[in-house]
Amino acid sequence: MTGVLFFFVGVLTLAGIYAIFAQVLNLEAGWAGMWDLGLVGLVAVGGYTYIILTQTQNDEVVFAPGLPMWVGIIGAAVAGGFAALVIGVPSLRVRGEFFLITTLAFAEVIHQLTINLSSVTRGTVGFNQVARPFESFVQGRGYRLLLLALVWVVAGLVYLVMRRLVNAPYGRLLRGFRDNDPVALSLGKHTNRHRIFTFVFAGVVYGATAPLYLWFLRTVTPSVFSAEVTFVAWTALVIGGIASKSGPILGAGILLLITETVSLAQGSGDFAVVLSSARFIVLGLVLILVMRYRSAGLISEQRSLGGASQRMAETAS
Amino acid sequence: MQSIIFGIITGSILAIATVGLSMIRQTEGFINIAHGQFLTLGAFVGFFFVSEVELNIFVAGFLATIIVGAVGVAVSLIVFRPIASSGPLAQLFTSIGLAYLLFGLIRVGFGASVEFFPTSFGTRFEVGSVNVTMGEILIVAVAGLSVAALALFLTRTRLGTWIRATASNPSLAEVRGVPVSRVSAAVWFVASGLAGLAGVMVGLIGNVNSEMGWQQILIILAAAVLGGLGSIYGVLAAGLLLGLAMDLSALVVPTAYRTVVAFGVLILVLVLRPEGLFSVAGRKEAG
Amino acid sequence: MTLLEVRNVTKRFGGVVAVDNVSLEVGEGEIAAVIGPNGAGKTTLFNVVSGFEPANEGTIRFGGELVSGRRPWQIARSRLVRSFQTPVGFPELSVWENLMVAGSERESESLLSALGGRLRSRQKETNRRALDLLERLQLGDSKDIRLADLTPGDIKLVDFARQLMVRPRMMLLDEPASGVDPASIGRLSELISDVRDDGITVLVIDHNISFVLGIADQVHVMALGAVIAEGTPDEIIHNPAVVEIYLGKRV
Repeated sequence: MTGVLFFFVGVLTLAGIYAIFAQVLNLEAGWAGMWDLGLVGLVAVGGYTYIILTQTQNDEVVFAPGLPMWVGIIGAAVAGGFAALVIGVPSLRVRGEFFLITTLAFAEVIHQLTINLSSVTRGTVGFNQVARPFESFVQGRGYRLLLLALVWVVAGLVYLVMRRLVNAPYGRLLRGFRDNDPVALSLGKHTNRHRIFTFVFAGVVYGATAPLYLWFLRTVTPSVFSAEVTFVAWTALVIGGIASKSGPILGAGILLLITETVSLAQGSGDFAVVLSSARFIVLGLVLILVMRYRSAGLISEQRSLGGASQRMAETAS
Repeated sequence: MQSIIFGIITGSILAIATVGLSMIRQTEGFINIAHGQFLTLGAFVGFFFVSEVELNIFVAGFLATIIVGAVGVAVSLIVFRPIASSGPLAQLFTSIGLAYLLFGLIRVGFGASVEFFPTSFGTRFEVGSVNVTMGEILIVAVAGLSVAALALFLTRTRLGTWIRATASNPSLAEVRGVPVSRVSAAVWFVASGLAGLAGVMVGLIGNVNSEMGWQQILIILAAAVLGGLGSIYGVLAAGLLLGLAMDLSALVVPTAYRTVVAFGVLILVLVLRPEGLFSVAGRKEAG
Repeated sequence: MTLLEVRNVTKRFGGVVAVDNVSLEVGEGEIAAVIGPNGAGKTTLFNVVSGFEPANEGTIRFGGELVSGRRPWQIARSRLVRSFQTPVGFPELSVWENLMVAGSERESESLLSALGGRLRSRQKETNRRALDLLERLQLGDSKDIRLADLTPGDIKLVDFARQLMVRPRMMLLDEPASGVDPASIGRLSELISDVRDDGITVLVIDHNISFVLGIADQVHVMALGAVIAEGTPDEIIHNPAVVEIYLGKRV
């Protein structure tokens, strides 16, 4: 019984991590209209920066300073933001599908680099000693509950930050030029600069929260940062509803419950392949069905618009 | 130089794989990520016919092309027709879902192991300072013939003309009486079939494995964007260009970086010329 | 004083000359108009003046400063704003939000101020202006309605209001009367003239000749990319070249 319980603890933890990613994606794609298919690349940059800065096994690696965790997290955030800047500046010169493909291309380049720069990243072997916060206080299975709580606290913080952003003039402007760039330009708004800031901010958050993903998985290899992460985050976002605030969280919960439960079934021999393929089949079906039945207005904002001017009226005194 | 020969081979295969994606983009309006899985399917089906049914490689290749083409049509009717009015982004994400679905099904149906075509390429013979096998020459020849056949089909037949009309202006074509569903089916058949054929070729040159689709789709996307998503000739040129770039780069950088080179070229081009290398005033861009 | 000075501007698209060596001036406080048949190059001229298209030749000065070659958002920051032929605005935002976006200054819109936020006082001021404008234009009741849900006529009105929120020195209006029913044209003319009374210079493009001649101080007539006549409405009506363009031979 406790086995099943702890399985769900794991699922909910992963759901929380994806809830974070999906919320950031919501900012980029839902509010600012940047359809980013390369987010896993930014997570990878953050994740690898964190592990390289903090891990203490220094065999085979050129660079292993063994710094404290909080330094690693800050480093990851900075690296994520910097990577986003490098990716964003050229990518934002193109729109729509071209932007999609360019971000996908960058993510693949990052993937290849993590595999091939083995003197820094330990290539496909990766790192399997991931030190985690508060491990000295809580051991064993109890730690999984701690991690669950930690992940969801961060998800909640991200929610509050995103809510603040979207209700501010900054968020309004984003939602405006998302739909009509020329009008925004004609009002004097430097829209491309706002896009880049948003993209870099997204990179910072992806980078800063990547360690959560690593603490959950307890191993860091290139395959952990596959395009599947990007697509799962997207599916979670679409299920929950793009450009709605609680959507990403809901979507992540639902999606991960489905896919992870499916992969619960383990078998041996011939069945192993079938069962490990089941996850992809389910993910694919969910994405197809969601697009079929929810895509009416892929971006349709469900929040009450009256709320915006109401809030303003209430703060005026 | 040997690398140039490899580049031409890679490029030719890439070209026929990409042409289909470009056609679908033009007539249906979205980028079909599942195209990579059609390639994988072609490889496995071809392999099946050669190793289990012991057919000749040409027959097997032909059958694989036809079968994958048919699958493409079926998929377009079941999966994409119902959401035709949902816009290119919804269709793109649906194609991603389809890609995962097909990936899972292919793994279940054909297994997750790596297979090698038991087909011989013939002896390696020398031409000047390079060496090629008959098999490699045939691959390039078949690719070239397919492209030529496609070009003839598009310019000389009525259906082909309808396809070109739809590609440049779908709403006008419909108004003028072009049978939209027939054009759509034809395009899906040809595009998917070519992907299947490319799959057989990739399988012959390298190996057949379930991950092929994901590896190839990225380069195909690069070639498609480079070619401007508009003209067929642009796509062909882009395919060859990328093939050459990837194999020539092996002289300078470790081969593991092949795909990085392809993307490097893509990114560089997009930065300098955001419309792609051979942009043609084709279909109106959505969004 | 001349506010907008267009000097020898030419714009080509491939082999087509859309704007052919056009020169014109608009004085401060004036209501000027550009009329001409379809394809005369009027909207292209607007696009060039507002920075959405670069000119191939010629210069444009606004308030004495050279603006040709600047990006559209830079020109708009000099308070030269324009409307678009099909008014769409920010469809997913409410009417109020549309105006707030227009009226918020750079500092309020930064990511940092969203996170940190000394926004209150500046936003209060913008809010007050937005509400006043909505009242003035009789749109107060629609303020929380999603823009895309409004009638085309109201969307146009919001378009107008949005430009006013920027506190422009000059407004370029592209076909403001198109799609407006004859009964409301009068109200539109009043609005434009009110705006001029507030000190804003206006340049209008429209097909509706009577509307244009009714409000404009100075009219410029374009055909095939070139300016063929200029003058007061009275002079224009009696100009034979103009009459020929509209009534006579199709060029």
